Amino acid sequence: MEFLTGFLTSLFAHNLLLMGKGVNAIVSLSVDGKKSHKYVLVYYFLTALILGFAAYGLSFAEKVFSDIKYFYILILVGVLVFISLIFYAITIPMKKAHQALKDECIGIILSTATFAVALAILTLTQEQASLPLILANIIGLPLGYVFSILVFRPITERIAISNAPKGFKGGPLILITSCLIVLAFSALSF
Amino acid sequence: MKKLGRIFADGFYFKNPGLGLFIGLTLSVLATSTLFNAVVIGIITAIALVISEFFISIFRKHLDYFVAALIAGLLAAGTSTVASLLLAAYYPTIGLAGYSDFTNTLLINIIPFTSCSFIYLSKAKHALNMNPGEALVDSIASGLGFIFALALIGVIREILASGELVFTFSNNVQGYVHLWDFCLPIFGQPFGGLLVTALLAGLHQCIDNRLAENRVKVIVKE
Repeated sequence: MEFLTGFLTSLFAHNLLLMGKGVNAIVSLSVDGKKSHKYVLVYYFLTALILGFAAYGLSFAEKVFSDIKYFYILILVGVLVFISLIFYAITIPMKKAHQALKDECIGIILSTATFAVALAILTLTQEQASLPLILANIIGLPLGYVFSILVFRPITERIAISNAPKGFKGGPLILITSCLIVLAFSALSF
Repeated sequence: MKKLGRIFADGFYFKNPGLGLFIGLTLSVLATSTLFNAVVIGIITAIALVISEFFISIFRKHLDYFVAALIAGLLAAGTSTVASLLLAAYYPTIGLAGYSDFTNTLLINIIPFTSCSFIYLSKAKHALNMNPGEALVDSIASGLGFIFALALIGVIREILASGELVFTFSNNVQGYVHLWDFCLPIFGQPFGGLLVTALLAGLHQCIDNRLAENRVKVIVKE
Protein backbone atom coordinates (compact mmCIF):
# COMPACT_ATOMS: atom_id res chain seq x y z
CA MET A 1 0.00 0.00 0.00
CA GLU A 2 2.87 2.34 0.88
CA PHE A 3 4.48 1.52 -2.46
CA LEU A 4 1.27 2.28 -4.35
CA THR A 5 0.75 5.58 -2.56
CA GLY A 6 4.37 6.56 -3.11
CA PHE A 7 4.19 5.54 -6.76
CA LEU A 8 1.06 7.56 -7.47
CA THR A 9 2.45 10.53 -5.55
CA SER A 10 5.71 10.51 -7.50
CA LEU A 11 3.79 9.99 -10.74
CA PHE A 12 1.49 12.97 -10.28
CA ALA A 13 2.12 15.08 -7.17
CA HIS A 14 5.92 15.01 -7.42
CA ASN A 15 5.92 15.08 -11.18
CA LEU A 16 9.04 16.87 -12.37
CA LEU A 17 7.06 19.17 -14.62
CA LEU A 18 4.62 19.99 -11.85
CA MET A 19 7.49 20.91 -9.56
CA GLY A 20 8.77 23.29 -12.23
CA LYS A 21 11.66 21.01 -13.16
CA GLY A 22 12.58 19.57 -16.54
CA VAL A 23 10.80 22.43 -18.31
CA ASN A 24 14.00 23.28 -20.12
CA ALA A 25 14.25 19.92 -21.82
CA ILE A 26 10.59 19.86 -22.80
CA VAL A 27 10.67 23.36 -24.27
CA SER A 28 13.92 22.83 -26.15
CA LEU A 29 12.51 19.63 -27.64
CA SER A 30 9.16 21.15 -28.51
CA VAL A 31 10.17 24.45 -30.11
CA ASP A 32 10.46 22.65 -33.42
CA GLY A 33 7.02 21.03 -33.50
CA LYS A 34 7.62 19.18 -36.77
CA LYS A 35 10.33 17.04 -35.30
CA SER A 36 8.44 13.76 -35.08
CA HIS A 37 11.59 11.70 -35.25
CA LYS A 38 11.34 8.11 -34.11
CA TYR A 39 14.56 8.49 -32.16
CA VAL A 40 13.03 11.20 -29.98
CA LEU A 41 10.64 8.82 -28.29
CA VAL A 42 13.43 6.30 -27.74
CA TYR A 43 15.47 9.03 -26.09
CA TYR A 44 12.62 9.91 -23.79
CA PHE A 45 12.66 6.38 -22.46
CA LEU A 46 16.45 6.25 -22.29
CA THR A 47 16.41 9.47 -20.30
CA ALA A 48 13.80 8.02 -17.99
CA LEU A 49 15.89 4.88 -17.52
CA ILE A 50 18.98 6.87 -16.63
CA LEU A 51 16.96 8.99 -14.24
CA GLY A 52 15.96 5.79 -12.45
CA PHE A 53 19.60 4.70 -12.21
CA ALA A 54 20.60 8.10 -10.87
CA ALA A 55 17.94 7.93 -8.18
CA TYR A 56 18.97 4.39 -7.25
CA GLY A 57 22.67 5.30 -7.10
CA LEU A 58 21.87 8.21 -4.86
CA SER A 59 19.73 6.20 -2.52
CA PHE A 60 22.58 3.69 -2.15
CA ALA A 61 25.33 6.28 -1.72
CA GLU A 62 23.27 8.41 0.62
CA LYS A 63 22.81 5.45 2.97
CA VAL A 64 26.45 4.35 2.88
CA PHE A 65 28.00 7.80 3.29
CA SER A 66 25.30 9.51 5.30
CA ASP A 67 27.74 10.57 8.05
CA ILE A 68 29.93 12.75 5.83
CA LYS A 69 28.81 16.37 5.71
CA TYR A 70 28.16 17.80 2.24
CA PHE A 71 28.85 14.40 0.69
CA TYR A 72 25.83 14.89 -1.52
CA ILE A 73 27.86 17.38 -3.59
CA LEU A 74 30.39 14.71 -4.52
CA ILE A 75 27.59 12.24 -5.17
CA LEU A 76 25.87 14.72 -7.42
CA VAL A 77 28.96 15.45 -9.49
CA GLY A 78 29.83 11.74 -9.67
CA VAL A 79 26.36 10.75 -10.79
CA LEU A 80 26.28 13.56 -13.33
CA VAL A 81 29.55 12.47 -14.92
CA PHE A 82 28.63 8.78 -14.75
CA ILE A 83 25.26 9.09 -16.42
CA SER A 84 26.59 11.53 -19.00
CA LEU A 85 29.26 9.04 -20.00
CA ILE A 86 26.73 6.21 -20.22
CA PHE A 87 24.51 8.37 -22.33
CA TYR A 88 27.39 9.42 -24.54
CA ALA A 89 28.25 5.75 -25.07
CA ILE A 90 24.66 5.12 -26.14
CA THR A 91 24.76 7.94 -28.67
CA ILE A 92 28.10 6.95 -30.27
CA PRO A 93 26.58 4.50 -32.80
CA MET A 94 24.27 7.19 -34.14
CA LYS A 95 24.96 8.25 -37.70
CA LYS A 96 26.26 11.66 -38.63
CA ALA A 97 22.82 12.60 -39.91
CA HIS A 98 21.57 12.59 -36.33
CA GLN A 99 24.34 14.78 -34.94
CA ALA A 100 21.93 17.59 -34.01
CA LEU A 101 19.70 15.18 -32.15
CA LYS A 102 22.72 13.67 -30.44
CA ASP A 103 23.87 17.09 -29.21
CA GLU A 104 20.36 17.87 -28.05
CA CYS A 105 20.19 14.62 -26.11
CA ILE A 106 23.39 15.40 -24.22
CA GLY A 107 21.73 18.65 -23.21
CA ILE A 108 18.64 16.80 -22.09
CA ILE A 109 20.52 14.33 -19.99
CA LEU A 110 22.63 16.98 -18.32
CA SER A 111 19.52 18.87 -17.32
CA THR A 112 16.91 16.23 -16.62
CA ALA A 113 19.28 13.91 -14.80
CA THR A 114 20.25 16.61 -12.38
CA PHE A 115 16.60 17.47 -11.79
CA ALA A 116 15.94 13.86 -10.92
CA VAL A 117 18.94 13.83 -8.64
CA ALA A 118 17.63 16.95 -6.94
CA LEU A 119 14.26 15.44 -6.29
CA ALA A 120 15.78 12.13 -5.26
CA ILE A 121 17.94 13.87 -2.67
CA LEU A 122 14.98 15.80 -1.34
CA THR A 123 12.89 12.65 -1.09
CA LEU A 124 15.49 10.21 0.11
CA THR A 125 16.96 12.40 2.80
CA GLN A 126 13.62 12.55 4.54
CA GLU A 127 13.97 10.82 7.86
CA GLN A 128 11.01 8.51 7.38
CA ALA A 129 11.88 7.32 3.87
CA SER A 130 11.41 3.55 3.71
CA LEU A 131 12.41 1.04 1.02
CA PRO A 132 8.97 0.83 -0.67
CA LEU A 133 8.84 4.62 -0.84
CA ILE A 134 12.31 4.79 -2.37
CA LEU A 135 11.42 2.10 -4.93
CA ALA A 136 8.20 3.89 -5.74
CA ASN A 137 10.16 7.07 -6.40
CA ILE A 138 12.72 5.31 -8.58
CA ILE A 139 9.96 3.93 -10.79
CA GLY A 140 7.46 6.74 -10.46
CA LEU A 141 9.66 9.75 -11.18
CA PRO A 142 10.89 8.64 -14.62
CA LEU A 143 7.46 7.35 -15.59
CA GLY A 144 5.87 10.61 -14.51
CA TYR A 145 8.36 12.58 -16.57
CA VAL A 146 7.77 10.42 -19.65
CA PHE A 147 4.03 10.70 -19.07
CA SER A 148 4.19 14.49 -18.97
CA ILE A 149 6.29 14.55 -22.16
CA LEU A 150 3.86 12.24 -23.93
CA VAL A 151 0.97 14.47 -22.89
CA PHE A 152 2.92 17.49 -24.04
CA ARG A 153 4.01 16.21 -27.44
CA PRO A 154 0.71 16.21 -29.42
CA ILE A 155 -0.26 19.58 -27.99
CA THR A 156 2.95 21.20 -29.19
CA GLU A 157 2.58 19.57 -32.61
CA ARG A 158 -0.83 21.17 -32.98
CA ILE A 159 0.47 24.50 -31.73
CA ALA A 160 3.16 24.43 -34.43
CA ILE A 161 0.53 24.40 -37.20
CA SER A 162 -1.89 26.79 -35.46
CA ASN A 163 -2.49 30.40 -36.43
CA ALA A 164 -0.95 31.88 -33.27
CA PRO A 165 0.23 35.50 -32.91
CA LYS A 166 3.64 35.91 -34.52
CA GLY A 167 5.38 37.13 -31.38
CA PHE A 168 4.21 34.17 -29.33
CA LYS A 169 5.03 31.42 -31.82
CA GLY A 170 7.55 28.88 -30.59
CA GLY A 171 8.86 29.10 -27.04
CA PRO A 172 6.37 31.50 -25.38
CA LEU A 173 3.32 29.54 -26.50
CA ILE A 174 4.92 26.28 -25.37
CA LEU A 175 5.58 27.83 -21.96
CA ILE A 176 1.95 28.92 -21.68
CA THR A 177 0.91 25.37 -22.61
CA SER A 178 3.21 23.92 -20.00
CA CYS A 179 1.80 26.22 -17.33
CA LEU A 180 -1.71 25.05 -18.22
CA ILE A 181 -0.54 21.42 -18.01
CA VAL A 182 1.00 22.18 -14.61
CA LEU A 183 -2.37 23.58 -13.54
CA ALA A 184 -4.10 20.41 -14.76
CA PHE A 185 -1.57 18.13 -13.05
CA SER A 186 -1.94 19.99 -9.79
CA ALA A 187 -5.55 18.82 -9.72
CA LEU A 188 -4.23 15.24 -9.70
CA SER A 189 -1.95 15.76 -6.70
CA PHE A 190 -3.51 14.17 -3.69
CA MET B 1 35.56 47.29 -30.33
CA LYS B 2 32.49 47.20 -32.56
CA LYS B 3 32.60 43.41 -32.50
CA LEU B 4 32.75 43.35 -28.69
CA GLY B 5 29.78 45.75 -28.57
CA ARG B 6 27.81 43.43 -30.81
CA ILE B 7 28.73 40.43 -28.66
CA PHE B 8 27.57 42.35 -25.56
CA ALA B 9 24.27 43.39 -27.16
CA ASP B 10 23.66 39.81 -28.33
CA GLY B 11 24.37 38.34 -24.90
CA PHE B 12 22.37 40.92 -22.96
CA TYR B 13 19.30 41.37 -25.10
CA PHE B 14 19.04 39.64 -28.49
CA LYS B 15 20.15 36.25 -27.18
CA ASN B 16 19.11 36.79 -23.57
CA PRO B 17 19.44 33.37 -21.90
CA GLY B 18 16.20 33.63 -19.91
CA LEU B 19 13.79 35.30 -22.31
CA GLY B 20 15.34 34.78 -25.73
CA LEU B 21 16.93 31.34 -25.65
CA PHE B 22 14.81 29.72 -22.90
CA ILE B 23 17.87 28.49 -21.02
CA GLY B 24 17.71 28.12 -17.25
CA LEU B 25 13.94 27.89 -17.21
CA THR B 26 14.00 25.96 -13.97
CA LEU B 27 15.66 28.91 -12.32
CA SER B 28 13.15 31.25 -13.95
CA VAL B 29 10.33 29.19 -12.47
CA LEU B 30 11.69 28.17 -9.07
CA ALA B 31 14.01 30.99 -8.07
CA THR B 32 11.88 33.97 -8.93
CA SER B 33 9.17 33.75 -6.29
CA THR B 34 10.70 36.87 -4.70
CA LEU B 35 12.88 39.64 -6.07
CA PHE B 36 15.65 39.01 -3.53
CA ASN B 37 15.90 35.31 -4.41
CA ALA B 38 15.92 36.11 -8.10
CA VAL B 39 18.74 38.64 -7.85
CA VAL B 40 20.93 36.53 -5.54
CA ILE B 41 20.57 33.41 -7.66
CA GLY B 42 21.03 35.40 -10.85
CA ILE B 43 24.33 36.78 -9.54
CA ILE B 44 25.60 33.31 -8.56
CA THR B 45 24.60 31.90 -11.94
CA ALA B 46 26.33 34.76 -13.74
CA ILE B 47 29.55 34.14 -11.78
CA ALA B 48 29.38 30.41 -12.60
CA LEU B 49 28.81 31.22 -16.26
CA VAL B 50 31.71 33.68 -16.48
CA ILE B 51 34.16 31.31 -14.79
CA SER B 52 33.20 28.27 -16.89
CA GLU B 53 33.09 30.04 -20.23
CA PHE B 54 36.38 31.88 -19.63
CA PHE B 55 38.13 28.69 -18.55
CA ILE B 56 36.81 26.75 -21.54
CA SER B 57 37.88 29.48 -23.96
CA ILE B 58 41.45 29.36 -22.62
CA PHE B 59 41.74 25.63 -23.39
CA ARG B 60 39.41 25.65 -26.42
CA LYS B 61 42.02 24.20 -28.80
CA HIS B 62 42.47 21.07 -26.69
CA LEU B 63 38.81 20.35 -25.94
CA ASP B 64 36.05 18.79 -27.95
CA TYR B 65 32.38 19.61 -27.58
CA PHE B 66 31.36 16.91 -25.11
CA VAL B 67 34.35 17.22 -22.78
CA ALA B 68 33.96 21.01 -22.77
CA ALA B 69 30.30 20.69 -21.80
CA LEU B 70 31.19 18.34 -18.95
CA ILE B 71 33.96 20.63 -17.69
CA ALA B 72 31.57 23.57 -17.82
CA GLY B 73 29.13 21.58 -15.68
CA LEU B 74 31.80 20.67 -13.14
CA LEU B 75 33.10 24.24 -12.90
CA ALA B 76 29.57 25.47 -12.38
CA ALA B 77 29.08 22.86 -9.67
CA GLY B 78 32.23 24.06 -7.89
CA THR B 79 31.30 27.72 -8.12
CA SER B 80 27.76 27.18 -6.96
CA THR B 81 28.92 24.98 -4.09
CA VAL B 82 31.13 27.75 -2.75
CA ALA B 83 28.31 30.25 -3.23
CA SER B 84 25.76 28.03 -1.51
CA LEU B 85 28.04 27.50 1.49
CA LEU B 86 28.62 31.27 1.76
CA LEU B 87 24.89 31.90 1.55
CA ALA B 88 24.16 29.25 4.14
CA ALA B 89 26.63 31.03 6.46
CA TYR B 90 25.46 34.61 5.90
CA TYR B 91 21.85 34.34 4.69
CA PRO B 92 20.45 31.12 6.19
CA THR B 93 16.86 32.32 5.80
CA ILE B 94 16.94 32.51 2.02
CA GLY B 95 15.07 29.73 0.23
CA LEU B 96 13.23 28.67 -2.89
CA ALA B 97 9.47 28.19 -3.07
CA GLY B 98 8.46 24.85 -1.59
CA TYR B 99 11.94 23.79 -0.49
CA SER B 100 13.50 24.02 2.90
CA ASP B 101 17.02 22.99 1.95
CA PHE B 102 18.18 25.85 -0.17
CA THR B 103 21.70 24.67 -0.82
CA ASN B 104 20.61 21.42 -2.46
CA THR B 105 18.30 23.09 -4.91
CA LEU B 106 20.63 25.94 -5.66
CA LEU B 107 23.53 23.62 -6.36
CA ILE B 108 21.54 21.36 -8.59
CA ASN B 109 19.81 24.03 -10.59
CA ILE B 110 22.84 25.99 -11.66
CA ILE B 111 24.65 23.05 -13.25
CA PRO B 112 22.11 22.48 -16.02
CA PHE B 113 21.90 26.18 -16.75
CA THR B 114 25.61 26.54 -17.35
CA SER B 115 25.83 23.25 -19.22
CA CYS B 116 22.89 24.10 -21.43
CA SER B 117 24.12 27.60 -22.14
CA PHE B 118 27.50 26.24 -23.05
CA ILE B 119 25.91 23.59 -25.23
CA TYR B 120 23.96 26.30 -27.01
CA LEU B 121 27.09 28.35 -27.49
CA SER B 122 28.97 25.34 -28.82
CA LYS B 123 26.17 24.67 -31.26
CA ALA B 124 26.38 28.23 -32.47
CA LYS B 125 30.12 27.76 -32.99
CA HIS B 126 30.75 30.45 -30.39
CA ALA B 127 32.34 29.24 -27.22
CA LEU B 128 34.95 27.00 -28.78
CA ASN B 129 35.84 29.66 -31.34
CA MET B 130 36.06 32.70 -29.08
CA ASN B 131 39.25 34.03 -27.62
CA PRO B 132 39.26 34.59 -23.83
CA GLY B 133 38.49 38.32 -24.15
CA GLU B 134 35.44 37.76 -26.32
CA ALA B 135 34.30 34.89 -24.14
CA LEU B 136 34.58 37.14 -21.08
CA VAL B 137 32.46 39.88 -22.68
CA ASP B 138 29.92 37.35 -23.93
CA SER B 139 29.58 35.58 -20.59
CA ILE B 140 29.35 38.86 -18.61
CA ALA B 141 26.66 40.12 -21.00
CA SER B 142 24.73 36.85 -20.81
CA GLY B 143 25.04 36.84 -17.02
CA LEU B 144 23.79 40.43 -16.72
CA GLY B 145 20.97 39.65 -19.14
CA PHE B 146 19.99 36.65 -17.08
CA ILE B 147 20.03 38.65 -13.83
CA PHE B 148 17.86 41.29 -15.49
CA ALA B 149 15.39 38.67 -16.75
CA LEU B 150 15.17 36.94 -13.36
CA ALA B 151 14.73 40.24 -11.53
CA LEU B 152 11.94 41.28 -13.88
CA ILE B 153 10.11 37.99 -13.42
CA GLY B 154 10.74 38.15 -9.65
CA VAL B 155 9.29 41.66 -9.30
CA ILE B 156 6.11 40.80 -11.21
CA ARG B 157 5.58 37.53 -9.36
CA GLU B 158 6.21 38.95 -5.92
CA ILE B 159 3.87 41.89 -6.47
CA LEU B 160 1.12 39.69 -7.89
CA ALA B 161 1.54 36.96 -5.29
CA SER B 162 1.69 39.08 -2.15
CA GLY B 163 0.88 42.67 -3.13
CA GLU B 164 4.17 43.92 -1.69
CA LEU B 165 7.90 44.02 -2.41
CA VAL B 166 10.32 42.88 0.29
CA PHE B 167 13.93 44.10 0.33
CA THR B 168 16.40 42.09 2.42
CA PHE B 169 19.39 44.18 3.51
CA SER B 170 20.90 41.66 5.88
CA ASN B 171 19.77 38.55 7.68
CA ASN B 172 17.80 40.53 10.28
CA VAL B 173 17.01 43.78 8.48
CA GLN B 174 14.19 43.85 5.97
CA GLY B 175 12.20 46.61 4.38
CA TYR B 176 9.05 46.35 2.35
CA VAL B 177 6.80 48.39 0.10
CA HIS B 178 3.11 47.55 0.50
CA LEU B 179 1.32 48.24 -2.78
CA TRP B 180 -2.19 46.83 -2.34
CA ASP B 181 -4.16 44.20 -0.42
CA PHE B 182 -5.16 42.22 -3.49
CA CYS B 183 -2.99 39.14 -3.97
CA LEU B 184 -2.90 36.00 -6.13
CA PRO B 185 -0.88 33.34 -4.22
CA ILE B 186 -0.79 31.04 -7.27
CA PHE B 187 1.83 33.34 -8.78
CA GLY B 188 4.20 32.15 -6.06
CA GLN B 189 3.88 28.59 -7.44
CA PRO B 190 5.55 27.14 -10.59
CA PHE B 191 2.39 27.98 -12.55
CA GLY B 192 2.97 31.70 -11.99
CA GLY B 193 6.64 31.41 -12.92
CA LEU B 194 5.85 29.73 -16.21
CA LEU B 195 3.10 32.19 -17.09
CA VAL B 196 5.11 35.33 -16.32
CA THR B 197 8.17 33.92 -18.14
CA ALA B 198 6.00 33.06 -21.16
CA LEU B 199 4.45 36.53 -21.32
CA LEU B 200 7.79 38.31 -20.96
CA ALA B 201 9.38 36.01 -23.56
CA GLY B 202 6.48 36.76 -25.91
CA LEU B 203 7.01 40.49 -25.38
CA HIS B 204 10.74 40.06 -26.03
CA GLN B 205 9.99 38.18 -29.25
CA CYS B 206 7.49 40.86 -30.38
CA ILE B 207 10.06 43.63 -29.87
CA ASP B 208 12.66 41.52 -31.68
CA ASN B 209 10.33 41.03 -34.65
CA ARG B 210 9.53 44.74 -34.79
CA LEU B 211 13.24 45.65 -34.69
CA ALA B 212 13.97 43.16 -37.47
CA GLU B 213 11.15 44.58 -39.61
CA ASN B 214 12.45 48.12 -39.11
CA ARG B 215 15.94 47.01 -40.06
CA VAL B 216 14.63 45.45 -43.27
CA LYS B 217 12.72 48.67 -44.07
CA VAL B 218 15.88 50.75 -43.62
CA ILE B 219 17.86 48.41 -45.87
CA VAL B 220 15.13 48.50 -48.55
CA LYS B 221 15.03 52.34 -48.45
CA GLU B 222 18.80 52.51 -48.86
